[in-house]
Amino acid sequence: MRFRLSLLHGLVLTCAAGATNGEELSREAFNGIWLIAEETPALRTLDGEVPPLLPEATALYEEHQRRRANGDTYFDRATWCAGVGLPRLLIANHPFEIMVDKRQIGFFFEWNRWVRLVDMSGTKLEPYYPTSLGTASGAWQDDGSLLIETTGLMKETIMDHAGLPHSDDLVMTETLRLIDADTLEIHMRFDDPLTFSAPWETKVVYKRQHGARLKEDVCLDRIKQGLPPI
Amino acid sequence: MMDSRAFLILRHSACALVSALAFVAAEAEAQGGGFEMSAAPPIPGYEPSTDPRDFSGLWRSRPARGSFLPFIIAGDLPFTEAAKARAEYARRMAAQGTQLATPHVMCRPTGVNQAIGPIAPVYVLQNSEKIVFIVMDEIRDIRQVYFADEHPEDLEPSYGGHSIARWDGNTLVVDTIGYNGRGVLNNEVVHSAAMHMTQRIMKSADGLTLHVETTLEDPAIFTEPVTVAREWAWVNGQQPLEFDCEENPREDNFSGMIFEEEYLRPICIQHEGEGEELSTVVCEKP
Repeated sequence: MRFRLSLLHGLVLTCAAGATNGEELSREAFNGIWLIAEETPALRTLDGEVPPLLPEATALYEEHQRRRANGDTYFDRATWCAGVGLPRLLIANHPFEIMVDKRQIGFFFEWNRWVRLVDMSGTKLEPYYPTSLGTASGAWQDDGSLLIETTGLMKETIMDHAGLPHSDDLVMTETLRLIDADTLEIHMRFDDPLTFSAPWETKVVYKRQHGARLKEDVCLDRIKQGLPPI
Repeated sequence: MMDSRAFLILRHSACALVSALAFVAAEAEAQGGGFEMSAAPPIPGYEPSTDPRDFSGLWRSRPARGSFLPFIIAGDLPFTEAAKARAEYARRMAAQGTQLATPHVMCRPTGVNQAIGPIAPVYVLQNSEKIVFIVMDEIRDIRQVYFADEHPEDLEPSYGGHSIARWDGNTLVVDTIGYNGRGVLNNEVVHSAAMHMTQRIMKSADGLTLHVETTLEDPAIFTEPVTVAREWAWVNGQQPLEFDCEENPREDNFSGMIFEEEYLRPICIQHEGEGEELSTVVCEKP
C-alpha cells in the first residue's frame, strides 16, 4: 500500500496554521543537533491536561508515580539501560541529531546511541514485531513540514518519565516543522484506544545546538559510575 | 505482526548462538552462501546509485575469506605474543563452555569489529558534511565519519573512535583514531587505545558493491599492520529491525561467565520467575 497519508491529511491542515514565518527553509535545514527547549518530565495535552487515560491505564499511571516516589523504578526499563522508546526519547533532556537523506531520515539520539530510521520510500511499512522505536514511515508535505507515522511501539516502554503507559496499538503521528532556522517544533498525535478514551495531541519545541556533536553515550558505563540512567 | 516477546527471545537465543559460533568460525572453511540472520521485510522501490561518490543505501558485508561469518576479521592474524595468548585462552575457555566477558558481549559499542565485518546490514546515510554507517539489526552500532582534514585536538576517547574522511579520486579514505582501549577486534581480543584504522572504500561501476580495504595498526596486538579486504553487497530496501542488547539481562546469560574487567560485571540481572511468578530485574548499587 502506498503511503498516501490520507488519514493524516486533516491533521496536516490543522498543523499548517503555525507554518514558518515566511522564511523558506530547505529540507536540509532540519539537519543538525536539537535539544528540547523545556524539560518535559510528563506529557500533557495541548490544553495542558493529563492525557485522557482509560480507568485501567489511569491506575497503572498512578502506580508508576507511586513507585517512583518510593524509589522503585523497576517499571522503567531505563533502570537497566534498555531502550526507552518513543515518544520518550524525543522528550528526554538529551540531544538528538536529524540527518536528512533521500532514502531515510535518521534520528540519532545521544542517549545510549539509539538510532531511528524513518523510511521515505513512499511505502507504508507494517511492523514486523513491536519495538521500542516502532516502525516509521515519513513523507514531505507541500508546506515543507515532515509527516511521520509510527506504529509497532512495544507496550513495555513508558511514554514519559512520569510513567504514562501505552499499548502495542499506539499510533504516533508527528509533524515536524521549522519555526525558524534554530527552532524545531514537533506536533505529536497519539491514537491508542486500548489506553486512551480519545486521540490526543501535544507539541514540543527544540532549539538547535550550534557547534555541538553527539557524544558516545554508554548507559551501562554511566550507571556503573553511579550516575542516573536517563 | 509477530509477537515481540516471542521474537525477542528467539533473537537473543540466536545472538548467543552467534557468539558461540564466533569461536569456531575462525577455523571454518568458506561455505558458499554466507551467513544470514535478519529476515526483515523488503521495501520496494530502492535502486542502487551509480554515482561513485554516493554510498547511501543498504549494504551487507560478505564473509571473510576462510570463514562463513562476516564479523570474523580474518583467520590468521600476526598477533603479538600477548594477543596470541589471549586469543588462545579465550578459545580454550570457550571449548570448556566458559565465556569471557568482552565489551561486545556485555553490550558496549563494538567499534573496529563492526566497522570491518558488520554482522547485519549497514544503513548508510550521507550528505556533504559526513557519512554515517549504521548497524542496528543484530547489534546497535553507529559510526559518524566527518568530511574533514584533521581530527579535533580535544578528542574524548571512545569505543568507536573518531573518524574523518576525504576523497582520493572516487575512493573514500577514512581515518579513525581516538579509541578508549575497550573496543573489540573480535570476540577474543580487545584492541588498545593506540589502534589506528584506515579504510579505503570504493564503489563498483554498477553501484552494486563497495570494496572496503581496511588497514589496522595497533602495536599492542599486531606485530605488523594488517590489511583486510571485504566486499559489501548492495541490498535492496529492507525494513530496519531493532536490537536492544540491554533489554533482557538474563541470569543464565552471565552464569559461568568470567569477568576480568570489573566495569563489565552487570549491575542489573533479570531473574526468571517460576510458574505464575513473573521474571524480575534486580539492580545492585554500583
